[in-house]
Amino acid sequence: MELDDFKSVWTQQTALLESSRRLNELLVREHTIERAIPAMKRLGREIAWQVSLLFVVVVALGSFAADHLTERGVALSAALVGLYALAIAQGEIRQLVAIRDLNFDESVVPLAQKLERLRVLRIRTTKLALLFAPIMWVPIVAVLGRVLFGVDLYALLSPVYIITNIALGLALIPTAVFVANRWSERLGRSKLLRAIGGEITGTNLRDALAFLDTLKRFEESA
Amino acid sequence: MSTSDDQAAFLRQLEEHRGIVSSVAFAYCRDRGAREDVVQSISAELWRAYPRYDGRVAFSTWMYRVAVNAAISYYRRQTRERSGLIDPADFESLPAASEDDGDVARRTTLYRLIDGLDELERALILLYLDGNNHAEIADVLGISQTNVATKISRIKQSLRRSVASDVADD
Repeated sequence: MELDDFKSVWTQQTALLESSRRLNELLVREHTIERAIPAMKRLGREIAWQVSLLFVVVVALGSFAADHLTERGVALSAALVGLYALAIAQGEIRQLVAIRDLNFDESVVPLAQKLERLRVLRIRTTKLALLFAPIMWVPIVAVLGRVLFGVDLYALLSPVYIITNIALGLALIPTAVFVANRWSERLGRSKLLRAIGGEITGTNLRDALAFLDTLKRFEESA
Repeated sequence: MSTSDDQAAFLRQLEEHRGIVSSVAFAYCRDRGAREDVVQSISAELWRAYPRYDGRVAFSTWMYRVAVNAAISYYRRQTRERSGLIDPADFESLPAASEDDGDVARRTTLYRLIDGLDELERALILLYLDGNNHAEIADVLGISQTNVATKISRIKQSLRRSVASDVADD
């Protein structure tokens, strides 16, 4: 049996689909575009909002640090949180630039490569945010304590207490990776939890890099 | 040209090449519900991309590109969410009224062949089965014609091996 022998079966099958009234309705429905907002456009809008918010946070933190230079602990905390926000913002800006470059009428392989590189970028940015969050909470609480209640936590709490909390935060990172690896199957029911688990353990990143490798081989092998 | 003229022209061309959407959707999804989602997704991308269509490539080539890109995106999202490949048991077949035993056997083998291919090879094979030549396939996929020829030849060899193995098993 040769591949060309299947052409008639294929034509027959797709002709049956083509004649389906439902398909026809779906195809020519003029408001389809309004109903199905393309996922990339939606993602772009969400990221643009996040970047705007992050920039407001960075500017506010910079101004806060400048006003509290004499309180070294608080000023340093504000600078650290600002750097964390900037690191996330740069990843998101790169995603925005990548999204602007996407057109679904491009050839298949180059577009698939762009989409998967965008996915790698998104996974790395999320991973950065998730993995550093446990150790960033101490400086975040220090800044919030000063802003909301006028309290300098570094003066109020003992260095041992603060160091212990940072150490606990650090210990949380391998624990989160272990938990996500160990119970990834049970996370299966929740789409969000499974996605977060995949980002922490690196499964999503490995999958994206593997597909990029497949695309490269598909493009090269001749 | 006014917007309504644009829309009318687009719908005319879409109607003329409607088969492209059917065959792309069928290559990636045979479950009816999922296939309607794919068609919806392809239609949305076609509407969105149409203002950029400048006639530099044939309308069918442009349509294949948009449809395959949208279908691959959908397929990858689905397989990620299901954490695995789509279960072939979910697939629906469309028996034709006049089909004989030979047609049924060919259809089963064709489904098995498609199920065994990754998303890029599926695109290649659907373009081939739709009767596109190597230059057209290369244009849609963005790879060289030599590459297209090599890949088709490999898929043909693999199919021959698979059929030979089935015959030996029987």
